[in-house]
Amino acid sequence: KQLPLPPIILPPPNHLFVRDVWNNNLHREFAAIRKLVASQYNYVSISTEFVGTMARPIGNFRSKTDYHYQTMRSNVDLLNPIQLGISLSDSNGNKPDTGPSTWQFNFQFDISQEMMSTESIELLRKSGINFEEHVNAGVDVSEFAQLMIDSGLLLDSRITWITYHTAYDLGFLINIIMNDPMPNNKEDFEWWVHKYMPNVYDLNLIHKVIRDFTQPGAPQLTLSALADELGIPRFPLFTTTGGQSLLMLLAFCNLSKLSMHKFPNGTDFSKYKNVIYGINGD
Amino acid sequence: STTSDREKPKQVELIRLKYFSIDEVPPTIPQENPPKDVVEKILFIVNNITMDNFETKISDLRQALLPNYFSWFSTYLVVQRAKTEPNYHKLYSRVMTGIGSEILHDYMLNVTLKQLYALLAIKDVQMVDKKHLKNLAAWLGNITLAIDRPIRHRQVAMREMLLDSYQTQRLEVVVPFVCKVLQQAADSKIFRPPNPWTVGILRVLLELNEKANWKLSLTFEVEVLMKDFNLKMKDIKPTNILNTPEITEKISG
Repeated sequence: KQLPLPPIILPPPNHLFVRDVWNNNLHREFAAIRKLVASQYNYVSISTEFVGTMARPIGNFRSKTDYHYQTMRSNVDLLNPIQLGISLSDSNGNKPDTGPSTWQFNFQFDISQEMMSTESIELLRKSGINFEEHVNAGVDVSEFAQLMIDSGLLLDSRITWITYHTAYDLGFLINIIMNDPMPNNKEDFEWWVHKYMPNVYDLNLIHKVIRDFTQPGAPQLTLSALADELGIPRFPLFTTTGGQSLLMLLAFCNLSKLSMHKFPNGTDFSKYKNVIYGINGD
Repeated sequence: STTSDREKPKQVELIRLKYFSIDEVPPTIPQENPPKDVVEKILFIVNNITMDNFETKISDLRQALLPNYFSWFSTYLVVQRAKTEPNYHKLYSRVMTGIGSEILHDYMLNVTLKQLYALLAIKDVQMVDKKHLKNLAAWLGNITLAIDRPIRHRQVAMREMLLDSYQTQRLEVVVPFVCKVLQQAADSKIFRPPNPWTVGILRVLLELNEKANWKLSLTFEVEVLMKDFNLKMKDIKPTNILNTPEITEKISG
């Protein structure tokens, strides 16, 4: 049976703002991020834009999840991320009243050096990516990694990470922070994720579990369809990489509030903490 | 007169450190000094704990060391022990993690940073107690990097400290501090190179080594550090930022 739609949620305008980060404002924006992290804004969501899955590993695999990990691993090793978005809130979904709390990092990225099809170049251009700017003014990935590591967001059990269909987002982030090829097997990858991000939730997985109670076997929803269900309007901003991380955080916090952080059978969301969907979420 | 010739205790002049600040521990648990019998009990355990009898002794300590005594205990372990006993840093760090409290860790970090601040801020470099500074720097590395915990930028901004000390002629105290802290990353799968944060600091040290025209002892510090990471000096590319105007302010954001 169809549940009545919840009332439309209108976040305050300053919450619906994504700060674009290029090489020239990278350090200044990280100073702002560090300040927020230090003042109780300890929920952070992440989304990534990259050219798409280009490589398929061949050989024998121990399991389906092993195959999924090896696919993600070879693509992350082969490709560079184009953008990365993060959004911050406190554990109740509150955002600061002044100043930005969502950032979109635009990385150094040169299409002439990357493995990508003309098709995906066109698609990304249409979605608003300015490749010329990425060559000239993009953020250096290694500088980004340094600033992430001592920002307070990583290696801290008091921080909670929110993702949506996690594997690639975490893969790129871990790869940047490791500054080394990806681990051989998914167990080692999970070790790195768990170290750097002791608390990770996959919104897609949480929502899938909830739906399995009411509509078993129903197809998975996209993030925007999930947001529709929660009464979050489709602002154009949400289609950007930074906006995706913002939408993810809004959706997770709303879902948490509506359900009291519990599944319909009373189990706490935390049962699915640190389950990386598609890699260890059999 | 004879009285004015007599040496007065010399006033130690302190400077205000940039890029080094200390977060106070949120006062969630009221702190007090333990009663005499508890002090004796705790000191007895710390005096007798070893890597071999660790498990039994640490559970005794866990019972005696109430959370109200964390501030007192941190001051004791840092000031009375870690500051002068570098050979026992691994044991003391294991004692800290063995208690298993985030709040205790916060107090340890707080006391350690305060002690380090007091040494790094002494204006007259000649008067800095370099041995204590190195011991406490190594201790800081032991309770952070060595156990896979970050040194937060808002407390200690490593690259900015190095760049600033170049401008203000404080390399002689700051470089040994940074090297000793970083050395403890050799034990950490997370923080040893190629960790970008660690490599980023090494790159600044290597540029300073080329351009700062400093004492041979500082070159030696950097060489020892690189050796601890099983790296040769030429394995890592120095930065090229020393002479960029306002670079420290830019990086700090």
